[in-house]
Amino acid sequence: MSHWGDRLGAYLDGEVDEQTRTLIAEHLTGCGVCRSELADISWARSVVRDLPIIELPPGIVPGVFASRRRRRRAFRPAWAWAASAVTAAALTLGLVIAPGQADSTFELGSLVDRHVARVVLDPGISAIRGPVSGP
Amino acid sequence: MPDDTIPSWEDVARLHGRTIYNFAYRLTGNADEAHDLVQEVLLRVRKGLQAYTPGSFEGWLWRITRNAFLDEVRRRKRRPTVPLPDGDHDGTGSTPAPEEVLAAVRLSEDVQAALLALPYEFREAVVLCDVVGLSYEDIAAAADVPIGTVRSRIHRGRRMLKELLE
Amino acid sequence: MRKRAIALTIVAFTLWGGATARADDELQQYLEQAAVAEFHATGIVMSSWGTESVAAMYEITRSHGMSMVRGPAGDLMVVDGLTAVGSAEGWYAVEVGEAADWVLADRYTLGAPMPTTRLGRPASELMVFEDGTPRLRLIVDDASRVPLLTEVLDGDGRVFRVATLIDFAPEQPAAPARPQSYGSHHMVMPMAEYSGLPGILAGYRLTDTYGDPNGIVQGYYSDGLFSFSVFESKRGGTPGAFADAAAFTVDGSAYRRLVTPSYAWVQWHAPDRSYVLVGDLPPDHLAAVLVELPRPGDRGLFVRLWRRLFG
Repeated sequence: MSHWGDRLGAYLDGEVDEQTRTLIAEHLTGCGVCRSELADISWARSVVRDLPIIELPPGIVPGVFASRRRRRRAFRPAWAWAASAVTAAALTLGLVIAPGQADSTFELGSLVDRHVARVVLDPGISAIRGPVSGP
Repeated sequence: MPDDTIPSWEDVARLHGRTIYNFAYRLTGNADEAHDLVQEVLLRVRKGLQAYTPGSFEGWLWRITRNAFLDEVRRRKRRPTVPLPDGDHDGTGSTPAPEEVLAAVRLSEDVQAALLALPYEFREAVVLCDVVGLSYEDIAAAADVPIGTVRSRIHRGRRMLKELLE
Repeated sequence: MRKRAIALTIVAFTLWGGATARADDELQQYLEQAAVAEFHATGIVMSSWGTESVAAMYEITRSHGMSMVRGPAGDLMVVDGLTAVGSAEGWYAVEVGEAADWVLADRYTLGAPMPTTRLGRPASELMVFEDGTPRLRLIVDDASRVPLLTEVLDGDGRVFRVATLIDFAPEQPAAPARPQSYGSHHMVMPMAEYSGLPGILAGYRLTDTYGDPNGIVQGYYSDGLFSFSVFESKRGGTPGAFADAAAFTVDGSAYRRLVTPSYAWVQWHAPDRSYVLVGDLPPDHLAAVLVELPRPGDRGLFVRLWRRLFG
């Protein structure tokens, strides 16, 4: 083992304070053993750092959405909160923008989805909401 | 990422998904395990973000990552192992071209194999430092060990790599 | 603005503080029980907004952990914790990442039930009061607690929405067929910290905030009975669906509005933001909410003001 031990590695990684850094640097000028060790670990560091970055295979992040666990309230079956929300929900499908009319900022159809998907998770007055036959 | 912000789930997936994948891949040498780990980590992050208080985001994220990895290893009831060498890569039977001999460049598969030959703690420390790019402090937070231990593991891991790859 | 925020917060605390203790437990139970009932039914819903009336018919099947609603424009299922939207082209799924717990606001109380019959079944007529004023009239099936008739009153005591079931079969129906596959799966993801939308709006609590990469923020508000979403984005054009929408005025400002039997849709531009609001809230609630959101403003006016102030 060299004179500075694993602090040589810290020195290499910039993980030592200014004072230690100076001391090590000075030591290296006169010590072949430590220079040799530094060269070894420096080489090992760079071969790992040079490993190619692997790009995420397609589908990993969307996979998080679609795979496994369903979001679920503790004590109710999935549809239980649906009540009116579901009624209204499905029935808002009528309100969909025809292609070409959609404003780039708001695609109304997707806003419907975003509201309805949340509404179905809460109880409401059953059958209070009804179908949407479109604007 | 500044330490006083709480990132959104999408930020985490977008900015860190690839790094998490590489962390898992370099630790296991296995694409399927890496794939599963990314999914598991992102799920845990999603759940954990509600309770996250601003601090070292990197440390927090990598603690989750490391725990997810180790949970998975325990679940599979085996330690991270070296994949069986592929016959094409055992180096016998074909003469390397002179350029390849002269370039002191190692195929990344060799480095990967050497990494997998390291004891787990050393490999993890080296990967977190040199693949993920974490500071010693963040590695210590992730692995829940003192900085001195991190420093020692990284150093010994690198020395072993050098010997293995000579 | 800041004083107002503080005042609203105090109101909020009063409204929502200890909500579980003070909210009408019986009403809460009615709503929760109705939500778990299994049945098959056909119904009609009608809404009146000023001189405009819209109505439609729908069919509900709830069975085996799934809910299916068929309406004139397509189907909607709630299955496996997600919302599946179906049409002739197939199914796609929409899933919400996180949702805060449902809470009923203190302002709603249940009146004493009066026995009656409806669709040949023993039922109870109930009034739901909002701060002592009638807001809902329900005729509820005694066995399942499912409302067979629902009338929502506007601020003047007039019925503005009616939902009535025209046949009702509470025995467990056959399970609807699960979608075999989904064309796509959309996630509605929660946002961390966003202070752009008020925590309380006219008695509605900001329950969840969702965001997306395109920069549209969704604030989901609920008072436990009614709910709405406010979608906010950087100022842009007017969505095509609103081109022919009726203009209506609240407190001197003009908005565009579309109505359907179950929802109202309101669209407007503030000087530097564009908004769409969608919800089932009654007209007087809607007006109260709009007044507390950024008001419609001419962008030109904003620019002129800015220049006048800062040269």
